[in-house]
Amino acid sequence: MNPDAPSVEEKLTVDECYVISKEDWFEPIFCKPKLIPLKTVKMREIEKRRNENMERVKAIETASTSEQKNPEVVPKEPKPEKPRNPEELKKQNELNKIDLWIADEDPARRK
Amino acid sequence: MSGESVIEFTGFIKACRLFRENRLAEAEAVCTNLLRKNPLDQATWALKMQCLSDSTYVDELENEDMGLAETFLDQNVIAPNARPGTSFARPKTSAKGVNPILRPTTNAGRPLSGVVRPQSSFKSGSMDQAVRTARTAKTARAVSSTSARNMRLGTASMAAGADGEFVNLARLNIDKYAADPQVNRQLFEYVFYYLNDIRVAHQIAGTASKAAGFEDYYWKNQLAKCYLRLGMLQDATKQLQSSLEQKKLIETFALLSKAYNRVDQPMAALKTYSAGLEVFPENVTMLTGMARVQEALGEYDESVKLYKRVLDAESNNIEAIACVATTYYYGGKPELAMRYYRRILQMGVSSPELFLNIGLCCMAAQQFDFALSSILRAQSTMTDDVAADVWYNIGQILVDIGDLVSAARSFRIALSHDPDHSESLVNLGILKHREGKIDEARSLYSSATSKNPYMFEGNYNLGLVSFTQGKYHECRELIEKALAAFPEHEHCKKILNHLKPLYESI
Repeated sequence: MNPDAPSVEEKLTVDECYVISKEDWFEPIFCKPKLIPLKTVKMREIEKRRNENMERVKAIETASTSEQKNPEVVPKEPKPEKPRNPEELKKQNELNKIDLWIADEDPARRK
Repeated sequence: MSGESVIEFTGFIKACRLFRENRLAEAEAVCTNLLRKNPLDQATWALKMQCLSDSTYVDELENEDMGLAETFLDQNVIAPNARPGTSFARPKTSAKGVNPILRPTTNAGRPLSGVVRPQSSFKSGSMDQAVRTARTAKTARAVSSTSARNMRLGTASMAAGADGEFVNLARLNIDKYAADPQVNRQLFEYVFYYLNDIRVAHQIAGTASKAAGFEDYYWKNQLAKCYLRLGMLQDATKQLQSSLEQKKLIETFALLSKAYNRVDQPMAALKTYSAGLEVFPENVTMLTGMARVQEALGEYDESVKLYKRVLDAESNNIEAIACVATTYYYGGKPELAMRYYRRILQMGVSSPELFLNIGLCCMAAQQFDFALSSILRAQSTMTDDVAADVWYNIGQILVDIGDLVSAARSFRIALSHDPDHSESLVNLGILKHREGKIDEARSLYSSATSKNPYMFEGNYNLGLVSFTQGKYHECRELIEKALAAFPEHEHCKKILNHLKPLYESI
């Protein structure tokens, strides 16, 4: 009730709190559970259109690369008639798998 | 009955009716047949252009992609050293008490939001870091520039048609058709949305605006859209302000606010939204835009209030429900968040993200049976883009249950889906730390901090390991980074106080 009395304020710091051991702050901190942001309808539509467009572009690129490869298939046709030994067939199969003259830009084909 | 007669439409009327019923492919086919008979039919020509542009229409308010060029080579910011709270780059995170331990951040160092937005898909940091990001089979190549992507979109659109290019722009008299009010709108939308040729679209809009005597608000808005696509934000602002003087539209207010956001002026954007709300009270577009800006500034209380106003006006707005639920979950009220997410589930939305969020809310609210069933359903329906997050959260729940072996396995599966998932790296490092494998934990923490430099937990944990190993200089650097992310962390301050006498004695 005395107006001249000083006001008492309580302050707690980490040092003054009760701790089981002094090494409690050595514990690492886990990352917390993470809510996944939802996608609105507009976002889904935008993503669909982007994926469709990217697939079209890939189809164009594969079509153009396959057109370049087509004329080279023709001279290879009479070759398989000549070899009759199985060893030569295996060698030609290995050669056919690896196209030395065409650089594949698609990483999927290299795999 | 043979006596009845069946009405069948033919010709242009049939195409109009198909277009009105939104059957765009069939309407386009009818127009193609009509144009083969009479190539000079302008009405059919305009209708076919409208069909083609409507099929590739993108809402400009939501189309807000930022590539590498827009992110790192940006010269549009007016005030690079803005005061905290008035810029997107410097939001008030510490003043509002947002705790990065409680609320996770994205890789850009920004607290999580309730919905995915186009702008939040890019990674911040530095251009070197973005360019050197590892390319895997599932992560796409970083978008170098939005203009280049638009050109590729135009190429894809033209390739889709069997007849090739419908309108040959090189041989078209653009000035003649742009001044014709009967076909200029269809021509503009065809060039802008279908061909994605912004330069020609800008030419058409400029000619049409001049022909209208600079009094048509529509062409001013279209000019502003072209300027926004081309990155000429000052010109876009002028066009939109002039358009607002003539006629006030919701789209104009929203586009003007978008332009202000692009030049990092959130206060001007909020003023524009407020002006729009005066003309259109309780409009959902205005309220949503304001809520997004407030959320980006870190004003979560204001953002939640605005989203609740959105829900008062439109109860089925998924973005508002998800953002309010996210804020409640990280604010310590998982029961309320669960009710909001179940509301989304009742509306028929069924996605693995939603089931996982419901499972996490049930787990936090200690409803374990429903939590596990929801998470199992999320796991069975998950797609590639959310697989890492799903497995990370499964690992987190297994840690809470106490099954540390399965938790470590879950974190490894999450890392197999996404090698850049820094939260899984940190949690796996903590499990290794508890097993006593300090070197493995150290390498995992280092990998996490290199993937996500703004992460608090990675920097703090690595600093702790450095402190226990006696590497005080490295520890000091890491703890200072952690304090930059979370300035009020008491344990970081205590570690720095321990390190201070070592430097003072030198």
